[in-house]
Amino acid sequence: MSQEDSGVLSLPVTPEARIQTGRGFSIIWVVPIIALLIGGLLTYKAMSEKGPVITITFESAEGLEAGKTAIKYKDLEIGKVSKIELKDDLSGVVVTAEMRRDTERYMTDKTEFWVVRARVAAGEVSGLGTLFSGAYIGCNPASEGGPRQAFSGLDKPPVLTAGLPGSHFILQSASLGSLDLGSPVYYRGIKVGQVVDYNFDKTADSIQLKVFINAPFHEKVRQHTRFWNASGVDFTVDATGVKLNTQSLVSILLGGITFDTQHDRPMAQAEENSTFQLFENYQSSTEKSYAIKRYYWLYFNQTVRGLSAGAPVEIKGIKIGEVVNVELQFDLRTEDFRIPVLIMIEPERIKALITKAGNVVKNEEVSSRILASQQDDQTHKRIQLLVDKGLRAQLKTGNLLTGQLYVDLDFYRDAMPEKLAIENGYLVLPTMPTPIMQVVDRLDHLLKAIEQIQFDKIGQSVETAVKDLSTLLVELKSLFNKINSETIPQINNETLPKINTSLDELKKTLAGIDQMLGADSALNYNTRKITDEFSTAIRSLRSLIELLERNPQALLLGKEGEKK
Amino acid sequence: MQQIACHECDLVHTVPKMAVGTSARCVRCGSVLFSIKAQSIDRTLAWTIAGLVLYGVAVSFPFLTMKSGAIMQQTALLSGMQQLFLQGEIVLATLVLLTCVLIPLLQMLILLYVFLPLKLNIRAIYAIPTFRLFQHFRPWSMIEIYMLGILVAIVKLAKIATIVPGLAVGAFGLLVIVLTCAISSIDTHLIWQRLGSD
Repeated sequence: MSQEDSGVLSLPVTPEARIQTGRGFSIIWVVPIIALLIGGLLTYKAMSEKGPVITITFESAEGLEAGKTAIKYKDLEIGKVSKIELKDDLSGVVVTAEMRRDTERYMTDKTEFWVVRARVAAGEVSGLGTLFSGAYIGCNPASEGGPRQAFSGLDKPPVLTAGLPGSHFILQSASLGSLDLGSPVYYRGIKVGQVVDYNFDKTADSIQLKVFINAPFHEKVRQHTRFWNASGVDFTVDATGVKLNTQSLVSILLGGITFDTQHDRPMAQAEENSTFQLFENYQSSTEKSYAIKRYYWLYFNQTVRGLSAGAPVEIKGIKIGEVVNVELQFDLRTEDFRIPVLIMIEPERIKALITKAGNVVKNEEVSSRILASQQDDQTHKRIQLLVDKGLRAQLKTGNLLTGQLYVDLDFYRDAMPEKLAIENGYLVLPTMPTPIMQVVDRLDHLLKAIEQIQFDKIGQSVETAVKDLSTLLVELKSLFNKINSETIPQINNETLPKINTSLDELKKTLAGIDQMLGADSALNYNTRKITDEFSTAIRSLRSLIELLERNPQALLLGKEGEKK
Repeated sequence: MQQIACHECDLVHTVPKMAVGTSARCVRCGSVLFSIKAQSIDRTLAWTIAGLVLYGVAVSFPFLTMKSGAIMQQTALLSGMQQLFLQGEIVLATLVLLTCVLIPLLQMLILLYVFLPLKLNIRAIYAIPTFRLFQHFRPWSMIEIYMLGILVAIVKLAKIATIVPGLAVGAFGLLVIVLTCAISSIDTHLIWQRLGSD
């Protein structure tokens, strides 16, 4: 207390001056200003990094998590899922994602999104990391196309080919078989590409596969390159032995496509997205296929037993097409059956030979153009020209045992002229009956003629002739009887003695003659000489006749031998 | 002239006018009675504002990114607490949330509430109970410990995963320092004097 008292007491009378304590700006204020600057800068950066907010529709949100699932391109995070909601109609989920700012120009119509999950397919395991980290959304940004905010996610990951050198091609196949996304494409055993997409083509009722061939192998794909499915094991047993054709074990297990180009024909490189047929196996790929098919009608009046769809159409033994359909028609007007046969001809099988300035130019484009156009007036004229030259279709027996028929086209110079007609949009080619049928026809005619012979009448006339003959014989008999009874006695009694005397006289005369014409008589000698002369004359006459027979011109030109 | 009792030994002293930067000590036990700090209010206010900015950064930016193989986990300050909460550690989560997030924020807000009017020579309502509350909170602010925990975790986890510290870690570290500075720059003696002067 005393201290306090003394303190109070010791208060000085004069007031003490107020002490100034640091006025104005203090250096300490730099700290919050720096903090604010940094904070502001960071905030601005964070705000400016915020890119577009997009929505993606998926079928299911499996593996997706709001605030965690990333959107990645080439494994770089370019966005993050911020919200997942159910679609109004419950058909899927709508994922809202915040993208990085610099991705804005890639969010276009062509940009694709899909969910990446662990996947074991086509010989490789992908997305294994997603087993631990959870799925993420893959993205294939595209800078072309209009800007977009709402996307619909893909059900399957596309194979990323954007920016890779190479080309896409489309393959048509009847079935997908063991192929899948990522199935390899081989060229001479090297993996050069893969299946990047497939879908069902409604219009063609077939599977459309999209393959990507890496550079430089895409140059190996030419316009006539053949693709075939190398998935299976090709096992054939034939006369040459057992044949086993396989690709690598991987492609046996997982499927694959092989392509090859026959180098006998130089062809232009196939363009991006060209369409090819995918053959079932190597064998079928080597069979030539022809794109252009032309149809013609043939009408036959004869039987077509043995002719079936698929029977070949040949020209001079070379197949140029096949029979498509055989029908039977009943013409109500003429009340007769007729058989229209629809044939298909592949003009590409025929190579046109075009001569230009003395050089033979084989140009397949030209040939197919010439032969291909169906309704062209020019083609009509050209085929009419062929028909005028005798082009006819004929059914011929291909196999004697089975009686299989084929259609043969050939030229018959003596065929009746025919005019081309068009029926149901197709030209009608004139036909000729089969050679065997011609023989049959002729036999038929002969039989008919024989049938027309009236054998009964012949019989009647033979009968009357026999009757006449018998009366004739009876008359002859009576004649001989008359001779026997009347003439012979008369001869014996009167004629014979007279003959005896005559003979005696004749004997005398003959003796006289004998003296005159005896062996050593002059007459005899002369006669013999004449006879010799006569025979030589006849001989030379005969040789003359023979010469004239051989060379009648000798009459005018003389003997040829003399000339030479 | 004022009188002050030593808070260690209760000896009452008479303190003369003192110059800035000097401190008064107990004559019996030698403990500091109080010290006159230069520009105490300005300093506290400055540190507090800087602290609030850093706090904002620490809370809103990613804290840590942990990568191990394909697993990538990114956390922010608050999402870490949320994870704790989700994993059932409710007590722990609450404790961490209070000591490391809420109390430091409250402290800074109180400082701002009390010191800004003082600086502007305005009297804030309930300034005295508010400031008293601040004194109560002091032992509960443990962001230094939290920071220490994080550093230990980073060192330990570095072996099994790649740890990429985010912006928030830096901000949080700075906040620890700034907050310490702010609190140490408070001239309690002066404040009470000013608050009680009316």
